[in-house]
Amino acid sequence: MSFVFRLPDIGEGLEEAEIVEWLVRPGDTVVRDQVLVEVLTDKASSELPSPVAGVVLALGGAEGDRLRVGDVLIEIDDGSVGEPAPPEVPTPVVATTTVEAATGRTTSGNRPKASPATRKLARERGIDLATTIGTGPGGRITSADLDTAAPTPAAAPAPVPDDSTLGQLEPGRHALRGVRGVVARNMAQSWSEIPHIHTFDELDASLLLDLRTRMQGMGREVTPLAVAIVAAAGALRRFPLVNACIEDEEILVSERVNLGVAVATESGLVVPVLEDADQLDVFSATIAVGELAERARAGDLTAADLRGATFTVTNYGSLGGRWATPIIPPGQAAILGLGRIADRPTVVDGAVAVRPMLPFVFGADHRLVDGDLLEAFKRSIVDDLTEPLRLLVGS
Amino acid sequence: MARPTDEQRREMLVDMVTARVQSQRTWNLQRQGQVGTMAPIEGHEATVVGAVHALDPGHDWVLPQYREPIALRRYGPEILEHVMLYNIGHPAGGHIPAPIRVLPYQISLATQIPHAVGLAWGLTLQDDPGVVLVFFGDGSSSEGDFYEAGNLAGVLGAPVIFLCVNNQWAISTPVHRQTAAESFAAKAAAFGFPGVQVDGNDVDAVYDAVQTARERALAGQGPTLIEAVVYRLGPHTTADDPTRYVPAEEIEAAQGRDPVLRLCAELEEAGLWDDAVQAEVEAAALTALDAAFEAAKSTPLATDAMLDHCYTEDTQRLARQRAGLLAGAGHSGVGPDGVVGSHA
Repeated sequence: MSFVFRLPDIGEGLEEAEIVEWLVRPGDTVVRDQVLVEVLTDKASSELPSPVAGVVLALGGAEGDRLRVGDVLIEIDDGSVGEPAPPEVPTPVVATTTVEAATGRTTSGNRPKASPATRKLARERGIDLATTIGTGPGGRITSADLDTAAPTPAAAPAPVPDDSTLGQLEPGRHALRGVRGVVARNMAQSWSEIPHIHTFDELDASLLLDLRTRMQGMGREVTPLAVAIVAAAGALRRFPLVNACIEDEEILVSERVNLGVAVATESGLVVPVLEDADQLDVFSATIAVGELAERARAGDLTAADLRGATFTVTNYGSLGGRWATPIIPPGQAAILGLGRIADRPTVVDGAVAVRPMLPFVFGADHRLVDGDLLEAFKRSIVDDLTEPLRLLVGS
Repeated sequence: MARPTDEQRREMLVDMVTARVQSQRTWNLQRQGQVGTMAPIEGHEATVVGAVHALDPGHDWVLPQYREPIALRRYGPEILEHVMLYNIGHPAGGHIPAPIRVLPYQISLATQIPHAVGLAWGLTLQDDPGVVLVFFGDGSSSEGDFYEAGNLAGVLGAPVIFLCVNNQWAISTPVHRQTAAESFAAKAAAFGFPGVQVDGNDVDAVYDAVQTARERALAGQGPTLIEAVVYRLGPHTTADDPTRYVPAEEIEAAQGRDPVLRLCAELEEAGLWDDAVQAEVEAAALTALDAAFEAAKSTPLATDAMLDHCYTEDTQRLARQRAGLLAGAGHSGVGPDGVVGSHA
């Protein structure tokens, strides 16, 4: 006979949860309090320990499935007879399993995120988790990630993404889960809730590039992206309504200016957050953006790195793009997209001249931002980027 | 300085390890859908255990908030059954019977602080030679109840020990957003009695501070405010995800100051503790918890139990609702005016 473990309400008023990763398979012997599965709820990812000891008979869903509270999660043959009831179980080995469960749920520094079972598997295969890229929620390393991981620490991967890994998926049906599942839900929510408006423009990046070159000559690093971030942060301070969002029929204006910076990585697009970007100058912003991108590509971002953005900057120009209509992430009012700087003809003092032009787009939530504010915000950024010394002399 | 004896320190470690293991098992029970929301003890063991070991369970009262009850083993192993009754939502979990001098769980923040002052004042009036120790958190210290109770205790010279467990986080509110004061202990100045700050991960320091405060109270010298500085090593409760707001480097540093591991190491060095003892204590803790959980689940629960303990005698409306409940009519608790369970 078997014990049927149904998905419990582990939050307060939880309705459903997604199965992220099974740590047991049918036929496995489990002890009481051994972690069976990792689930993702609206609040957090959680490990669910077994209520009984026994042999796993059947799993109630596949990884990626969403179960409702009360649905069968797993059936375990615990030797009981008749209706499942919380059973009497001998406790000899539990001391270690409870400790393991506890370790699993506490934040443990910059350790790569992975479940105890995945860690064990990694140890067995001699894989260093620090060099493994996690595709689970929040960059968590799943046992599937270990299949693709090299057993010895690999050399640092080239920062330029390789096309051959893009868009690769077998024909057929695939569960919409993990990073892709989160992206899908966020994008659908933005697209259905936020009426977007976009304004496109080009600006003369001569002085911007000139600044970079001359600073390099002095041994200082300044990137156009960092200058754009500092300019955007300044504009957000000038126009607080853009540093806001609509939540439950209210306008929520953020106290802090936290910029999400979109970074392409091998496991997909991630948007780590540069906190208090309005406190940075172009030099510190350059360093901070570099570090964030580095950690993003190394898979070292924590969940905290990905939360709390009030505005997003996406540098689609790094992928070669010129024009785009980026989607505003949920909980934000606007987004700045930067295209690739390239030499193009423009008119200077009545004559056509070749200048390095930076195409860009500014998108906003039309419920909050009218056309006049949209253009004023854009102008503020254009002024700073065409004459970046404005940012160096300070406000 | 009042130093606990070797035997006391060993007993304290037994209580600390027991509390941690039982708290972790209760966490698992919550994740298995067998108990409700709970607040894990990790990081608070030395403060709670050190404090109650400096008290006399025969005379002194303990008023916990919601995190401490699982660590009050010194006041009687039967407390565990009430903890489990509370965790499964049984109304009997809200009542710890005499002669145990512990009041039940308090969920409404800080309301136990005025209770403590009233209780302490009552002990004085009744010539009962006991003191009252009340636990509350850094977040609770921002409640009006704390200031009112502190002020009254100072005026009355009540034999009460205010133990503020500063675990750095009120759910997600960090200490620097909680108060502009230099410390929580400093707030005692406004009440006119001493405030001391101790390392809450040091069981000896907590023991000493509570012992000193107790002696002052018994000598008629009035209250003391103790701030025990600790770090919450786990989530606030089972409904919390601290990875959203606790800096990773901070929790890592705090894990290095783990109060249980600290006392373990000290006692191992003194030859008073080893892995075999640890395993024995852990196994006993789980056995005790399983027994308490089973006892709680088999405690009878009358359909109308939720109406008990509201009034000494049922009001007319309550009597009508009770009769309706017992008759199995689900809607009969609604009065003619459509109000459910009004206090009118």
